[in-house]
Amino acid sequence: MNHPTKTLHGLGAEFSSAGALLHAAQKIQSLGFRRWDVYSPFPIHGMDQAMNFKRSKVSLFSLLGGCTGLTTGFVLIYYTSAINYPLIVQGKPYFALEPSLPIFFELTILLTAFGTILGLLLLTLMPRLHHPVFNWDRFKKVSDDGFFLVLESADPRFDAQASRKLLQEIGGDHVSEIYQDPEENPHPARPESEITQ
Amino acid sequence: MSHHPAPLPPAEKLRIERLGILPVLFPVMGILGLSGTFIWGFLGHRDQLAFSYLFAFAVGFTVCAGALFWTLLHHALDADWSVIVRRILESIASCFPVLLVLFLPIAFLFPHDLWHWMTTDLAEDPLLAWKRPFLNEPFFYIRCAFYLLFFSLAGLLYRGLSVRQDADGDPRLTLRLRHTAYGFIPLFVLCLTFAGFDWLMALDHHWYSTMWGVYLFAGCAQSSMALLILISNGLVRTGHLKGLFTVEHNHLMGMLLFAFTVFWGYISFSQYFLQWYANIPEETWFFVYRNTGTWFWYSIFLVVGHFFVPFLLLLTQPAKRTPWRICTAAGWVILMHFVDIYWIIMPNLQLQQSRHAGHVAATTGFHPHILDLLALIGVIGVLGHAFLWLFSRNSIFPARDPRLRESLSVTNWL
Repeated sequence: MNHPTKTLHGLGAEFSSAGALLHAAQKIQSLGFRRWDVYSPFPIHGMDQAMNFKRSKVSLFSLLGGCTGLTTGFVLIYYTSAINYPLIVQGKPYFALEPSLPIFFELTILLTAFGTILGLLLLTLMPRLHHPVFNWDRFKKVSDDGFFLVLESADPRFDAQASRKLLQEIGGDHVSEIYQDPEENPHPARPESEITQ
Repeated sequence: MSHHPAPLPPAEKLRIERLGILPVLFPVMGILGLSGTFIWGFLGHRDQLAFSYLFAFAVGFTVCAGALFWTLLHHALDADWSVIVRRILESIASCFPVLLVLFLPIAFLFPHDLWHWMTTDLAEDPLLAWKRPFLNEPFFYIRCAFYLLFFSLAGLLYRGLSVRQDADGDPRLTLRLRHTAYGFIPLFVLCLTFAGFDWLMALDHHWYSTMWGVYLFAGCAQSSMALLILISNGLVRTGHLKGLFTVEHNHLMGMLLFAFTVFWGYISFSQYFLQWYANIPEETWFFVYRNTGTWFWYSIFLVVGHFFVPFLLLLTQPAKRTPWRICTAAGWVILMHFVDIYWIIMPNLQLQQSRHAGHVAATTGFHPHILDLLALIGVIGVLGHAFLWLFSRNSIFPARDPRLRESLSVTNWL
């Protein structure tokens, strides 16, 4: 498969097991690659450490969401019941902390949840309808029994020849180029027999 | 990837010589504290003595009940991570026979000082007449005996069978303890709830709260988890459990401490909130007494210190994984548990004093007394000594528990 005119997304390699993928990830991480990822049918324990993931920034969005929710709750209650339409109910004060706390709490956790989901989507660049790895025919095994590692060509350490050798050395099978344009590549939905002709 | 599992660690005894002055300190605290409390109290502060002693007893009782709860829960859920610290919990829960002895002065010397309903004239108090089928002295003492005997037997049974497993390694004992736990948990809940009704809520027998049992339970579980964190980290500091107790255990216990901090906040707010909203006099007086004078600031301190401070101290992951930080939070939680129990009991002393003086029952504000501290020191000393004695007799972790390996290799996938 040679596509000189197409943009290279990266090099993909398939591994035989979750353990093999974990070791490969540790190796790639230790060599200092930055733009690469692993794909597996299920979460692999220890992969976060192997890929040296830093603490996620999602919690910052959660905090912002929570603060927004608390402020919204306070302003909503205080403005409506103490300023805009003050009304004595059951001899209780216009504004009291006691009945407001459940609403503060609910709005805080609601907007914390929104903030978390929004932060997650922003940080993972989701939703996204297509990704170059889907252009690789073997990749459809990822939801069944395939364990994959993809080195992206955008990584400064990426070199088409050396990286291919590297992936083979650390135990990768079916090392193949993945291109960005979907049209010139086998579509994952197409049967394999059609691809190989 | 197949390799032989590492051999399990051998049983480890407590090296009491590493504990510094603790083995001497506890008996001294117990003897000086309790004798000081009783001598001082009988020299002229009899009502103060009764309430201070009940306060100290309730602190010991709730912490031990919490430890029994965690032991039962460990078995009922077939938990694995907690095996390494379970002997600590079992030993705390086995202090119940000591609490039974500590309860004797309350039952034989002070009941009429403590429980106003025992001395009230029924003709003056129709509400009490209606509660008489439950609040009468014979039934009260039968209940007290039942609670303390149940807790003592449960504590001794769970520690006893666990120690037997150290010797023979029989996995059927684990199954037996698990099946027993299914029956013991409902009994535990009933005993704890009704003990809370009888000893604490009935101090003010007009007041009632359906949240009371859960409220006490939240404090029990939270304070005993805090104590567990302190003891296990103390063991590591003194060179025990080397390589067995890891940061992951601290993280798990920190999560539970955090969860029960939130649970306590949730329950105590619910109790207050509903009574504030309903505004029924029999219910609201409880909080009015505790909002009078300096009790108001004390109550605010309780809310901030018992909920917000540990909430913020324990919120982040590093806080639970750094020993000094989690121990700071745990120590604070235990102090706030004392504050909580004090807040429950002590306003009732002022109610009794104003009744005896012929006034309307009322509180005057937070007035600490040296007897509060002496009684607390005494009870902590006695229980601490009992704990150390029990804990030093056998291995400090269940060395042949079938789930020990899982407990040693537990990991929180971050």
